[in-house]
Amino acid sequence: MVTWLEQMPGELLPAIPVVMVLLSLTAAVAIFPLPENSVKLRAGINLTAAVAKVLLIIALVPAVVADGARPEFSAPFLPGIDLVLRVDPLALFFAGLSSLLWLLTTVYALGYLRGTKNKSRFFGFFSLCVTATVGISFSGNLVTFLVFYELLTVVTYPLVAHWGTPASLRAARIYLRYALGGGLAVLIGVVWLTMYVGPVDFADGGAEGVTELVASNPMPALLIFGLLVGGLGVKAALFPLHGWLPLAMVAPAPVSALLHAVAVVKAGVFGIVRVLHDVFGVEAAAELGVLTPLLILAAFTILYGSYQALRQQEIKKRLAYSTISQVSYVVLGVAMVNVLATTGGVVHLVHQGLMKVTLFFCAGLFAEVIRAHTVSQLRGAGRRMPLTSAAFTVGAFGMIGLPPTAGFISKWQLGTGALASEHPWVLWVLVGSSLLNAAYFLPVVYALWFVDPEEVEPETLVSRGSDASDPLRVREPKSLLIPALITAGLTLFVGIAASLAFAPLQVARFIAEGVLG
Amino acid sequence: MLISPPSLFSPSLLIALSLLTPLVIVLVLGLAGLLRPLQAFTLRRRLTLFAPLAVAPAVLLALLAEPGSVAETVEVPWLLFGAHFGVDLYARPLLLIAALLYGAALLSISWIKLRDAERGSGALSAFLLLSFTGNIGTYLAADAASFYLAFALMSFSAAGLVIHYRTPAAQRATRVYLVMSVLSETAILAALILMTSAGGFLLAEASEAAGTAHTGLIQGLLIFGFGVKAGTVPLHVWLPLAHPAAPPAASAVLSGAMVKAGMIGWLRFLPEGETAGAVLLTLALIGAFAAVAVGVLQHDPKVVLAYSTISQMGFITVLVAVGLMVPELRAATSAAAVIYAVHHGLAKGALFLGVPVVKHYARGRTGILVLLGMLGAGLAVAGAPLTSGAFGKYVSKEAVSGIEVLGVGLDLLLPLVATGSTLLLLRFAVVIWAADRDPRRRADGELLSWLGVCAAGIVVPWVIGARWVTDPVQADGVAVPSWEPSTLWDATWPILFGILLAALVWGAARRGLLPVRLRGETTPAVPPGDLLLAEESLLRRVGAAGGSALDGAHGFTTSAAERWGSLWSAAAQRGRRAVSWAEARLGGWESTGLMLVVLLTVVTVATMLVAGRFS
Repeated sequence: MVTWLEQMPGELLPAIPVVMVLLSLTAAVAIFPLPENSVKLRAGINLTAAVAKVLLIIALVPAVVADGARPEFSAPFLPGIDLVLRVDPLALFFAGLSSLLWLLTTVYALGYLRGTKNKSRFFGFFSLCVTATVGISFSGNLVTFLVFYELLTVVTYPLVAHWGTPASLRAARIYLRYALGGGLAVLIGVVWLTMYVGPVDFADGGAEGVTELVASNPMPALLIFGLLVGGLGVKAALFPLHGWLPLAMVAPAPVSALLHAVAVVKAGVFGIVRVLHDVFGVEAAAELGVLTPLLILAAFTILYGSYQALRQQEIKKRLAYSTISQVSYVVLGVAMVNVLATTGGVVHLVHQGLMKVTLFFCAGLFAEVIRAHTVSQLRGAGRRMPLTSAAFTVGAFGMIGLPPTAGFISKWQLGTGALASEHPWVLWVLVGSSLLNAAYFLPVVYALWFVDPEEVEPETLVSRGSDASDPLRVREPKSLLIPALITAGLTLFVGIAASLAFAPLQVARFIAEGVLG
Repeated sequence: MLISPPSLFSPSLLIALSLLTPLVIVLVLGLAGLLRPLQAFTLRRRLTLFAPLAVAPAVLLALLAEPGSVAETVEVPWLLFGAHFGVDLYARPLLLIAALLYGAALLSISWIKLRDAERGSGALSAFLLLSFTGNIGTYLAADAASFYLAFALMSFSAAGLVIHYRTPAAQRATRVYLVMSVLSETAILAALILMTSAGGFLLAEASEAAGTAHTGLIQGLLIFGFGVKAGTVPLHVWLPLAHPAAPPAASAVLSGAMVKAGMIGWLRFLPEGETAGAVLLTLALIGAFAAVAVGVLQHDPKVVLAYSTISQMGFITVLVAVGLMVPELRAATSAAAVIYAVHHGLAKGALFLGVPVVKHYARGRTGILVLLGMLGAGLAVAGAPLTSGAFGKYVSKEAVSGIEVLGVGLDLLLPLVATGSTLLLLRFAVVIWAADRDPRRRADGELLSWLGVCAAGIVVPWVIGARWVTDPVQADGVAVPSWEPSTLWDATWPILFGILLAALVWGAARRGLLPVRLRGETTPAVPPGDLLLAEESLLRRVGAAGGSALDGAHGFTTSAAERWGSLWSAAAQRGRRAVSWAEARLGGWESTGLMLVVLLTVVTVATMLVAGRFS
C-alpha cells in the first residue's frame, strides 16, 4: 500500500482528499434511495466505503508525516475564493479518527438498528455526517471549513431526532437552535475577517494578513476571534454553550457515540484548534490576550462538567457531562501554548474519541441487552455481561486517567505542559478533575464487578438469548460487542505503546512541534 | 548486569518474563470465560494450580542479578513515555520477598482440592497475580511513568483481594480502601508530574530534581500519597479494615509486600528536607506506639496483626524520616529500612498465613509444628535474639544512633516498639488460641506454603543483609551483629518488658481493676479503623456543607441558564419558526435536504457578496 502510494504519479496524490470526501458522499447518495428491506446492499455499500477510507488514511500517514507531503486540491468556489482541501498532519489526525470510528460505529449501528424503521434515512445521514467531518478535517481555508461545518449541523439533526419521539424531537430542536446560532456567529466572523484580509487560507503560524490585522486593528480582531471561538464553542460544548449536549443523548446509541467521540463535539474543538493555530497563529492570539481567558474558560468547563456528571444517575447523561469536561482538555492544551501541552491537547482529540466511543457503545449494550439505564441498574452486570463490562471499565479508567490507558498519556502530557507554561495552576485543575472523574466512574465500575446482581427479571432473561447453562449470563449481539472491544483494545494500545512511531502521541507531538517550532 | 554466559538469562528477558508471565496467566484466566462453563472451570482450575510458578522468573531475576552492577537499566522505548526497568540495591531483596510471599499465597489457595476461598473462577488468583505484577513493577520501574503504572496496577487489583468474600464488612473495607487509594494515586501522580517537569523523569535523577523546584509541595504530596499505602497515621484507617477482610493468603501479601511499596516510593523519590523529615518522624512515632494501644483491644486475630503492621511500618518510617533529616545517614537508614522490610515481610506473611493454618492443623503432631512456626515468626516480629527481627532492629538502631527526639535518643525509643510488638503478639496469641478450630486436615498447599515462608524467614534476611544490601562502593553499609552479651541483652529487654507489662495488665484484669470500657468483652472498645469514624463524620460534614453550597450555586446557575435560554429563544424567534416548519416535515429526508440546500444557498450568497467586494 505504502509503496504503491510512493510510486503513484504526483498528480494523483492531490486527488486523495477529494476521493475521501466523495467516498462517504457517494455512499450517502447511494443509500438514500435504497428500499428499507435491502439490508445487505446497504451494509455492503456502507462498509466498503468505510473500509476504503481507513485504508486510504493508513496509506497517507507515512507520506504526510514522514515525507512532509501536503496533498492539496482546490477548485474555484466563489469569485476570489477557492474550495481547498489539503492534507496536513492535523487534518490527517482528525480524519484518521473519524474514518476509523465511522467504520466501527457503522458496524455497531447495523446491529443496533436491526429490525427498526427508517434505516435508509439513518445511514444516509450517517454517511453525510462523516462526509462533513472529513471535509472539516481536510479544509484548507476558512470558507471551506464553514461550508462543511454548516453541513454537519444540518445532517446531524435528523440523526438526533431519529426516534421521532417528543423527547428526541425536542432535543434535536434545541440542538439545531444552538448549532445554527453558533454557525451564524462563525459565519459573521468569517465574513468579517474576509472583509479585512481577503480569503483566509490556513497556514502554519497564522493566515496571511491576520497578524497585521491584529497589530493594526486589535479591537475588530478581538471581536472576530470571539465570534469564531464562541461559535465553535457551541459544538465544542464550552461552558455556557453546552446545554444542548446532555439533551442530545436521547439519540440512538451509535449516534451519541459518533456525536461525542468524533463528529460534532470534536468538529467544534478541531475548529478552535485551527482558528488558534492556522488562522490567528499562537503569537497573534497571545498578543490579543485571548489565551488566558480561553484557558480559564476551558478549566472551568472541565470542573463544571465533571461536577454535573457527578449529579447524574442516568448512564448516558453522566457520559454526556463527562464529554463536556473531557473535550475541554483539548482547548486547555492548545491554550497553554507550549509543545508539551499542545501535544497533550491534540492527542486528546483522538484519545478522548476512543475512550468515549467505547463508553457509549457499552452504554448502548447495557441498555439494549439488560435494559440498564441508570447506574444502580448496573449492579452485578459484570457477571452477566463480562466483556461489555470489561470494555466499559477500560473506558472509565481512561477517563480517570489511570495507566496504561490513553487517558493517562493525555493527562501526563497536559500536566507536564501546564508546569512548563505560565499557568502551573492548571495542574490542580487536572488533579481535581481526576478526583471528580474517579468519583463518578469508580462507583459504576464497583457496581459492575463487586456488587452481586439483583433479582433478575424473567423478561430480561428471555429478551436476548441468555445462556442455558448459566441463566445469569447473557450473550451480547456480536455486531455491538466487537466494536466496543476493538475501541477498548485501542484505548489500551495507544496508552501502552504511546511512544511507538506513528502512535497518536507521536503524531500529536509532530503537529505541536510544527506549530510551535 | 547479570551472569553473562547463558544468554537465556539476559536481564531484559528476565525482567520481561517476571512482569509478563503473571499477566499472560491472568489474560488466559479471563478469556477462559468465553468457553463453555465446564471447560472454563477445568481450564481455570488447571491454570490456578500452576499459577504459583508465575513468580519463578522474578525469583531467578533476584538471585542472578549481580550486586556489582545492578543499577543498569533496560530501556523499552515504545512503552508509555519510554520505559526503563532495572534491578538496583533496594529492588533486589524486595523483589525476592515479594516473589516468595506471592508464590506462597498463590500456593495456599490453589491446592488440588480447591478451597471455598477460590470459588473455582480463579478470581482470587488473578487478582493476586495482577497485584504481584504491580508490586514487583514498583521495585523494577526506573522511570516515573512506569512506576506510576505499576503502583496503580497494584493498588487497584488489591481491591479485588479485599472484596473477595463480598460480605458487608468486605464491601465497606473495599470502599474505604478505594477512596484512600484514589486520593493517594492522585497525590502521587501530581508529585511525579512535578518531578518530571523539574527534569526528574528517570528514577536516577528524580529525587535530585525534586530538590530543585516545588520541593515542599512534592514532599507533602509524596508523604501523603505513599503514607496511605504504608499505613502512616492518620492515613492508615483503611488498613485495619482491609487486611483482615481479605482472605488470609491475600492479607499476607497485603501486609507483607504491598505496604512496602509505600516505603520504596519514599526511598526512591522523596527529596531530603529537615521539615518533611520531622513531620514524617512525628507521624511515624505516633503510629508505631498508638497502633499498639488500639491493637491490644481487638478481638479478631487478623485485626491485631493489621495493627501490628501499622506499628512496624511506623518503625520503618522512622528510618525513612531520619534519612530525610540527616542526608549523611540516608544510605545507612535506607539500607536498614530495606533489611527491616525484608524481615517484616516474611515474618508478618508467616503470621497471616498462619491464621488459617492454626485453625486447620493445630492439633496433634502437626500442632507442635504449627506452634513452633508461629512462635518463631512471632519472636522474629518482636525481635528476639538470633531471629531476623533482632538483625533488622540491630541494623536500624545502628543507623539512627545519635538522633534525638525531644531529648530522648531514637536508639532508646525504637526498642520500645519491640515492647509494643510483644504486647500485640501476646494479644494475638490469646485471641487465636481462643478461636474455634476445625477438624484436622491432611497436609496441603496451605500448610506447605506457610512452612515455606517460615523457613525463608529464618534464612533469607541473613543472606540478603550480609550480601545484597551493602553498596559495594561505600562498603560500610550493613554489618551482621556479632552475638555478644550486650547485643543479646539489647534484643531481649524490650520483650521482657513487654511480657512484664502484659502480666501486670492481665493481673489487673483478673482482679477487675480495668475500666469497663477497656474490657470490651463483646465489641472492642475502639473499633477497627479507629480514626476512620471521626474522619468519616468530618468528611460527611464538610461534604454536606460543600454540597449545599454547590446546590445553592447550582440553583443560581440553573436559573441564570434559564434566563440565558429565554434570551436566546427570543432572539431566535424566527429561526425557531423555520425549525418547527422543517420538523413537521421530518418524515421524509427530502425536506431536510431542502433545508440544507436553502442554508447552503444563504451561506453561498453571503460569501459571494463578501468576495465580490474584493474581486
